[in-house]
Amino acid sequence: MALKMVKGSIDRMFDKNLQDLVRGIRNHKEDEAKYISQCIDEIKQELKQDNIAVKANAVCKLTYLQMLGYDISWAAFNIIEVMSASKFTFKRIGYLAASQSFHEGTDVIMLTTNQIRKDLSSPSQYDTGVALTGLSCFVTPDLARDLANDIMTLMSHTKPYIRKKAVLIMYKVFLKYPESLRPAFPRLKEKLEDPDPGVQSAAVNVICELARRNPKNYLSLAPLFFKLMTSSTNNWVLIKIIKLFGALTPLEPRLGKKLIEPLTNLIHSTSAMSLLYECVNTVIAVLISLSSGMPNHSASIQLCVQKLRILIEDSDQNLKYLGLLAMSKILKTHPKSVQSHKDLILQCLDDKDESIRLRALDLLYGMVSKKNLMEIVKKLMTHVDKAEGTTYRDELLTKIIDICSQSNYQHITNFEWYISILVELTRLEGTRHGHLIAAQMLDVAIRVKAIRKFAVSQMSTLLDNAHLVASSTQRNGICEVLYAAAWICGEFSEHLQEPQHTLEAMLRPKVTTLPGHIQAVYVQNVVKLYASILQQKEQAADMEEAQAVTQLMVDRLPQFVQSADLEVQERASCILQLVKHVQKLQAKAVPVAEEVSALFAGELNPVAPKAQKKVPVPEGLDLDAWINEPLSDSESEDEKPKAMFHEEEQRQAKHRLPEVDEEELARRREARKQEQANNPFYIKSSPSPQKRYQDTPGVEHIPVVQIDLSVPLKVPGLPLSDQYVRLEEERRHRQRLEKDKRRKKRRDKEKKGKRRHSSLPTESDEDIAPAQQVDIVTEEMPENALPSDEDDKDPNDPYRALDIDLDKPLADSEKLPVQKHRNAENAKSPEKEDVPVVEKKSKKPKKKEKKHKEKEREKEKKKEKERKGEDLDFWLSTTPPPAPVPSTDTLSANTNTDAAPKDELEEPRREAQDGEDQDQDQEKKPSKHKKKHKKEREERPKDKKRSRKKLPGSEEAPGEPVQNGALEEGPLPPMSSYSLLAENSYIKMTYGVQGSLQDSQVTVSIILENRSSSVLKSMELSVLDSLNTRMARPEGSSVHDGVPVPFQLPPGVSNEAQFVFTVQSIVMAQKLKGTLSFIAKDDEGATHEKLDFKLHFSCSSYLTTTPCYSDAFAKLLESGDLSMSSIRVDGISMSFQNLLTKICFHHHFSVVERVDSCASMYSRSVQGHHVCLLVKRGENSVSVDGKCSDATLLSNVLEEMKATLATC
Amino acid sequence: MSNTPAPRRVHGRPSDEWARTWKRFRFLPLLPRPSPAPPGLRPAARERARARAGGGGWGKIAGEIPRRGSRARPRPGPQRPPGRPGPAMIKAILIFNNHGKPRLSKFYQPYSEDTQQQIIRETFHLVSKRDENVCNFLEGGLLIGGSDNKLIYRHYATLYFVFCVDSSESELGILDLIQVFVETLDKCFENVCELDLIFHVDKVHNILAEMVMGGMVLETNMNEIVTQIDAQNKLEKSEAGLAGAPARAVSAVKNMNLPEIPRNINIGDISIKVPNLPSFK
Repeated sequence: MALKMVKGSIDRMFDKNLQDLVRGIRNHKEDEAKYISQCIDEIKQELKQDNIAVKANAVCKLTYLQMLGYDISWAAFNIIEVMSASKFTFKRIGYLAASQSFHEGTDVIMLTTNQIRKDLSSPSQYDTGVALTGLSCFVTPDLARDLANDIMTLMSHTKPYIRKKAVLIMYKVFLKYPESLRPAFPRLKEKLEDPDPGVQSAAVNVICELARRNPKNYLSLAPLFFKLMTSSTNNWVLIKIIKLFGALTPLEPRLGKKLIEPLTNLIHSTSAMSLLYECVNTVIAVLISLSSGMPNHSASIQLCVQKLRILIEDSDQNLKYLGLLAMSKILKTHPKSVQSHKDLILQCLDDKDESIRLRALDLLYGMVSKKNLMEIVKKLMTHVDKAEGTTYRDELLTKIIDICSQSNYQHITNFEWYISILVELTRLEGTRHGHLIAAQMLDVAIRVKAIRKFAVSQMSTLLDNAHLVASSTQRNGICEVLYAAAWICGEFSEHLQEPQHTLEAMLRPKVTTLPGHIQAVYVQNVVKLYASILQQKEQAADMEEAQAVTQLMVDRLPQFVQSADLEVQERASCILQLVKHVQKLQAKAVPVAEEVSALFAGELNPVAPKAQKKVPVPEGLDLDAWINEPLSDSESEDEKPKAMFHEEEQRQAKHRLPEVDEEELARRREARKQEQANNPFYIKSSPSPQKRYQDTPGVEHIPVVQIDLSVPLKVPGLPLSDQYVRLEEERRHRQRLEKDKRRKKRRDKEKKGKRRHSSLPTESDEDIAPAQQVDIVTEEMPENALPSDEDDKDPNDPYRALDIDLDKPLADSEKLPVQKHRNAENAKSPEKEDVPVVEKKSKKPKKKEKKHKEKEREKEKKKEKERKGEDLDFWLSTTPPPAPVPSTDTLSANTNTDAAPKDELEEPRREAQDGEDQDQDQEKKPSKHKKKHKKEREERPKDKKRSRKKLPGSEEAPGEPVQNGALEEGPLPPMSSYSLLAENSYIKMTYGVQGSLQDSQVTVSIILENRSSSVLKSMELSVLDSLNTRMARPEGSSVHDGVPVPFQLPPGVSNEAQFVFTVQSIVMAQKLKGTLSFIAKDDEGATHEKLDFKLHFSCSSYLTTTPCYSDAFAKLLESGDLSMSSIRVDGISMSFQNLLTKICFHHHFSVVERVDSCASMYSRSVQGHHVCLLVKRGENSVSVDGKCSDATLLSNVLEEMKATLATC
Repeated sequence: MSNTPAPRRVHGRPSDEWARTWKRFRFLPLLPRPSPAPPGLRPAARERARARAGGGGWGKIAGEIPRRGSRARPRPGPQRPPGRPGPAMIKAILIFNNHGKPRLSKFYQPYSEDTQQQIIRETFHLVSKRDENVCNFLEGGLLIGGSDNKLIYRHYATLYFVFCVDSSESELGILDLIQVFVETLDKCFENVCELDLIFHVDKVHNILAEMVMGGMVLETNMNEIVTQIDAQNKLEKSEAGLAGAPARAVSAVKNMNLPEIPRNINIGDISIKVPNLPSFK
């Protein structure tokens, strides 16, 4: 053996190790790929050997190759082999390789479960540590589910090294297996106060990350975090907590108020910039959440801005960057305080660091006003000229457009200036944002009517100089503006001064080199131009000219007809034919202009971007309904693939149907309307009276100062925006003078047609009147559009699953699955046997139950939230934060045991119990996991020994707490919550009552069993309502109507029907009389039958099983507003365990805690009464002390309980 | 994995022209040693600062630690629409040299090998363009997507250390973490340089695993990290025991040759070969 080992290691000496591999690769620079493929072959050989050291070495090399980009997924199995090596050295290599190469799609990953579990429970902390580290990288939902409990156990490991890793990895587990969050959360919370700072930091880390995604669930932790914040000295933890508060404050403004003071203190005191920065950030978040109107907080804002200014002025670029970043957050709510630092920010625009320039640009966005817009944009334009590197220049370009167009061009006073800025921007080389400029041009031209004339003149110049814009291929992006230019010139051709010139420009042969979609627009707008020229000429009775234009069209259009672009070709040939026709008419001297321009009559209005989405679906229209039933399967196979496409099918159907019903017509009309609304080329038959081009609106309201249009146009080609800055200043000056004059003259009179009025003597922002009438046409929305904005949520957000309420007490079912051997007694579990009806029947009733439960849960959630809210309220209203009670189980004095040893004892027991749960779960699980579980079961015998060892001690251990009453000690006769309601020869009715938290309702489930040989049908249940209890009937039916049972019963069959009753007062038991009427039909005929019954609602039936934490329970008892009562029953022989189970079952209680022969139980009524019990077992007796918020309810429940217990 | 001494510690190199050049490019310690190191850098100073700030680390802010070199210029471009947020807060940790050769890559989100390489290339491209004395933050590369993400990097001698993080991390905190990382490497490798990372990437991984786990910061206290690493090394040594001895001997012999190889190749035409040196793999 030893010899073999030595031999093995001698062999190994000559294997390549990682260093050799690296060296080899470096020495084979020329044929690296070849060398590596050789190495991989060697590695494959090594992996085949038995020696684990050789394998580990091979895997180690593979990990290196993976970094170089080689796929090593083929070695996944070998990696697992190395992971399972006994030596730490190899294990670590294996886990490293796995963490680098495994992912959720790796199929062999499921083989690792047991190996990882073994490593997690290894005595060596480094084995455990390395497994945790590896697992954190490749945890899958399956692994998370199977290992969650093991990891949770590690959270209480004795070594902080393991604890912190276990705590941290829980976050990954939560993400993959959200169900684990609630069971694990209490322990995670404990770790916030772990003595080890590393563990504490890890816990803060995890909770902060959870809270960042779903802050509202963690509001209740605010006091705890607040305490940590004021006590912790670990800057890392502080930063995390402060960041967390930043996420919480928007939800709870009062929290913000409480935070401001300690945070400002921190800002003043800390020397660590990172902490200072985060504090400032959170203060900003607080101030945002507090919104405006808080004069005393202006000091805080000032402080923040002041500190940020220091950061920005710092020579360290990092601080400068972060300062600007934080500044932009303040900007959103307190623009004024930022605007005073405009100088500093403009200075940053000149910084050599691009990141900083970009941040400064962001800030500029919020700093512009009417007054300084031109100045700022001018500055930006010089930057555009200077900027090297297209990316930054593109960024500048988009920023300029953003700044100018923000909030509906709010800051633009002179649109001519803006148009010339846009035109100037077209001179940018190689920008990718041509379409942005184009969109702006279109938007402005369409929405600002007064500017159209100017825009058209500029655009025609642009078209004329198209060769400059579109010359080189490099400038491709910018030629998009020609799209806009062509459209504007065509659409608003009545403003053109030399339409014929423009027409020629648009028909140049060079145009055919433009991209297809632009050519298409050219073609279309050429016709618009043509139409307006025709009109002009005909009005001037200049027939010759008109014919000349037509001739030009006929000559030039064929170049488009030959276009390779379909759209262009199609439009061109259409139009060519049209023009030829016009030519013929012209030859006959028929006036055609009117008709041609009728093609383009009407005005285009802008449509809001979401208009289509907001169209409400008309009532009665079901978009999912088939218009034609889909083709039946019997038809030939060939048609099937077509049917797959829903739309296609519909269209086919449309074609086939010669006549359509009203609904379909309406639908089509709607669809067409929408289509038209979205089609820029569709001319709307708008009701507006002025639809002709001839009547040019807005000319008369071009106000105040007419700028001499010739100024920009004199510059050959393109205008200069700079001139506008000067002009604008003059204009403003003049305006001011004028205004002053006017004010003097007639102070009482209003200013001329301006939107804004100002009575301030100084020139404020508002005083600057726009040069053009800014009649920004609002975007059209469909009638009765839905105001919803819910389209922003991403359904795939992985964090959504973690949106779990954590304050709700744990339910019995919420346990982490633990893999354990199957428990033999399990089959006799009472719950299982006594609801055979539900179990046997198909999924239907189960589903119902589920729904029911969900409802309950929701309701509970609401209530819990209220409670939670109260706690938080309390905390928020008091100044010194009360120490949060980390109360371990403090049930009334006699059940108190030492917390620490109990914890350890609890562990194995819970595992055992969970094992049962798990087994039950597995039975129900879909087949997907079956295979896997089979494997697990095979492995169970091994586990068995281990767990057996643990179990016996704890089983009998006195003073040991039990989580709920489901644990078995002896067999219990099957119990049923169903009792007999009434019976006769035809039918037997049994019923059960269950409370639901829905509006204090109870659900009565009645099982109807047909005992006769007739078919029972038309069953109807009528109940005489009492004042207190009413049956919920379908809408519209009167109090005396019966409620039909939704099924028929063939002979020998039973089925269950549920009826809902509303209860007003639940403190007393209730009885209701009722009748079941039905028709019994057999071969001889049908008879009408009746069966009377009495429904008994016991007080217990108003209780719902609600789990409760022991600490919440203790608080409840201490609260003192519960009344007390007790009973004692003698002569009980049943085991305590069974007794508890019985109480749980019949009276809907849950065991909060059990210590020896004492148990505390809790339940809750449908109306929210808390019922707490302390059940004590004496020699042959049982005493039950109860506390409840309603004395009557309590005494009634106890009375009922007495009856139950008496039978034991 | 034998405990190979780092190649640079093999002595007896002739102090010729080549060796000096070689040293300049290859053996440049990431953290400049004895005298010229600014006071903020020395562990002792850090510890003091930490003690001042209250123990847990992070006392010293990153902004105050002078950076060493970094090159070039701007980045950005249009941002890709934010991708699906990943589970990790630190999305990836990359180390590559001045020529973009990866020295360590750790992704906390699954990517295919090809994408990983692409990300490394892209990140290198972004980072290497930047000038010296610009800030250490870059708004995300396109591949590790999302507007939420940032690249935070530091440049040490021949290596770039890049962390891709989301907004839940404190920028300055991560900068400090990088510093802690490098200082830890320095302690574990004794005067660390690029070659250590080249030949012992597995060890670097192990050190990193003690600091960052599954994309979350695990430990920021350097002493604690070093303690754990030492303990693991001890454990490893004890496992190797007798059987490991021959392997160690052989690898020591192998390492003896290392400096010979490039010297033999290059010695004839130093002036031509030298410029190529930095680019070797």
